[in-house]
This record gives sequence, C-alpha cells and structure tokens, in this order.
Amino acid sequence: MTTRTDPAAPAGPAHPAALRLFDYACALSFGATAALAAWWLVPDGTPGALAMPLGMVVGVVAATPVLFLLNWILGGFEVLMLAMQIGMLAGMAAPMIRGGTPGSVALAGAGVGLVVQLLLHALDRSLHGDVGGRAP
Amino acid sequence: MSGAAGTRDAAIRKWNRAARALDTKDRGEELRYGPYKRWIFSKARGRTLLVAAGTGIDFKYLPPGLEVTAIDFSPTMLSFAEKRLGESASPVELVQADVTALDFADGSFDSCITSCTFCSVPDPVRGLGEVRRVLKDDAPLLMFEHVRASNPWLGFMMDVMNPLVRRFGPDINRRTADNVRTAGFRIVREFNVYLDMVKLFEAVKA
Repeated sequence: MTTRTDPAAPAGPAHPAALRLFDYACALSFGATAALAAWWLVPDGTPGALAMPLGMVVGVVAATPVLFLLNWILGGFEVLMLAMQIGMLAGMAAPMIRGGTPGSVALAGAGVGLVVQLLLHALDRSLHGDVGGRAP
Repeated sequence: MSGAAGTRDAAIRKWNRAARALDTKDRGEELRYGPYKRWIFSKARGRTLLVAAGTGIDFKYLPPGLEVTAIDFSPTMLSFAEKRLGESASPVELVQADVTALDFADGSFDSCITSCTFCSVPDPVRGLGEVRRVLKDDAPLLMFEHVRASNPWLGFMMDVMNPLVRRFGPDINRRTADNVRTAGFRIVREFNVYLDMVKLFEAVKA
C-alpha cells in the first residue's frame, strides 16, 4: 500500500496554477464554440431524439479546430479530454435552447464547459499520485 | 505481405507523416509532463534502451551516466531526432528498429525507457515481450504512457473517439498496465499524472 504523500513522488510542472487557468479558458472556449455551432446548424423544429445526437456531432466537429489551436499553444491530454467531453455535451444541449440569442447560447455553452472542467479537475485531484502496487 | 507486416508498414507511414507536427506541437505537453519524465528517466542506469525515440523530444530528460540506444521504426522521426542528439546528457545511438522484432541479444540492457510509446505500437504485448527479452533480469522498465481511463464514462468516450484519433495519431484507449503484466512484467509502481489516463509505470520481470 502506498500513500499519496510519498516523499519520493515526482514533482509536477513549475506553474500548475497557470496551466489550470489555461484549461479553464479552454473549457469555456470549447463550450461556447460547440454550443453556438450546434444551435446554428441544427434546424429549429428537429425532434429532440434527432437534434441531440446531431448537435453532439456538430459540437465535436466545431470544437476540433479550437482544439488544434489551443493544443498548439499549451496543449496536453487535459485539453484533448476537455474538447471531446465538452464538444459532445454542449453540442447535445444547444439545439434544445428555444428562443436564445447568440450571446445567451455561448454563455450556456461556456457554462457546460465550466462544469465539465470542474468535474474533471475534482476527479484529477482525487486520482493524482501513487495507485498502489509499489514494491515494499 | 503478411497482415502484421502490412499493419507495421502502415504505422511507419503514419508516423513518418506525423513527425513534423509532433516536433512542433509538444510545447504544452513538455511543460505539463516534462518534470514527470525527468523523474522517471532518472531511474535508468547503464546501457539503456529508449523505445520510440520519436523526434528526440525526450533526449533532454535523459540523465548523465547512461549509454542510450534509441530506436524508432520511422526513419523520418529519426532524422528529426538526429538534430536533438546534443540535448542529451548521455551519449545516444539512433537505430531504426521495430520494437516487436528487436535485433539485440537477450539480456543486453540494464534498463528501458518508454515515453508515449505503447499507444502507437501495433502489437503492444509483442513489443513489451521483446523489451522483456532484451532486458537483464533485474533491469527496470520505466514508462511514461497515456492509457484508457478507468472511469466508465471517460473510458467509453475514449473508445468512441479512438477509431478517428488513431487514423492520425496514437490509440487513446490502450490498457497498457494489463499489457505490461501480460508480457511478463510485474508493476512495482504506478503513478497517476493526469486522471488515471497519463501514468508513470515502473516494472520488472515477473
């Protein structure tokens, strides 16, 4: 059994807070982009059972160029996971918004991004470190 | 051409094409994961096999005092890596080789390093078996790898996205810990870097 405060544990990046802030900015960008794309491109009146998967695909596709840009700036698996999750979820939810404006849809998408990043951040904090199997 | 050879040749072509992009896009990954790589690589000793040298982006994390043989099956990757030889604190010899068919004698290395390697080897268990063969009995296998997340939702997402991602890059849903054990290693330390999808492994022969 190992502990998560093992003194021999590796040091992390030099500026973790800056990276984490970047991840949050990525999450907001992915959410706003995916939601706007799905809201614009999925026709009004499309039945929900079709609009949601369609929006999901549109959301992922729309998030991909943003992913390439942000990944080039300061990428990592953190950014990849965000793009996949948020593209799907924000894209899926956006066609359900009736009577919104581009601003409100972008805000809603960014909100989805923020929630996803908060959840991933919490999960990462719970998992980071040794996971056992270490020799005595 | 056999199926395995065809798969390997397709993989070589894919990574030849990806070399230039990989050489430029890794700035963020180096900031995020560089310290972890430096830490795991510091455990290497003596004659060391670096599997999948790629563009040599990890040479700067190699500690002094090693005698490194860095292999990659992509000649384009190696041409990029050649320009980075000076970044290593230890001498590095570049060899074009496929980890699933190594041309080294049994028990000829004191340690082995991998860095995002077994996400891209077409037959990872066979590759790890070859690594096991060329390592001495007490030699450590030191790995920085990304793997399939154990969280059911995240794992499912990775399974869904993998067919698309693997067309341009690595597989993102490899169960590398299982593959390491299947190949005859015992994992003595496993460390989660990001979620449980970016990991460090230390393993020895079982």
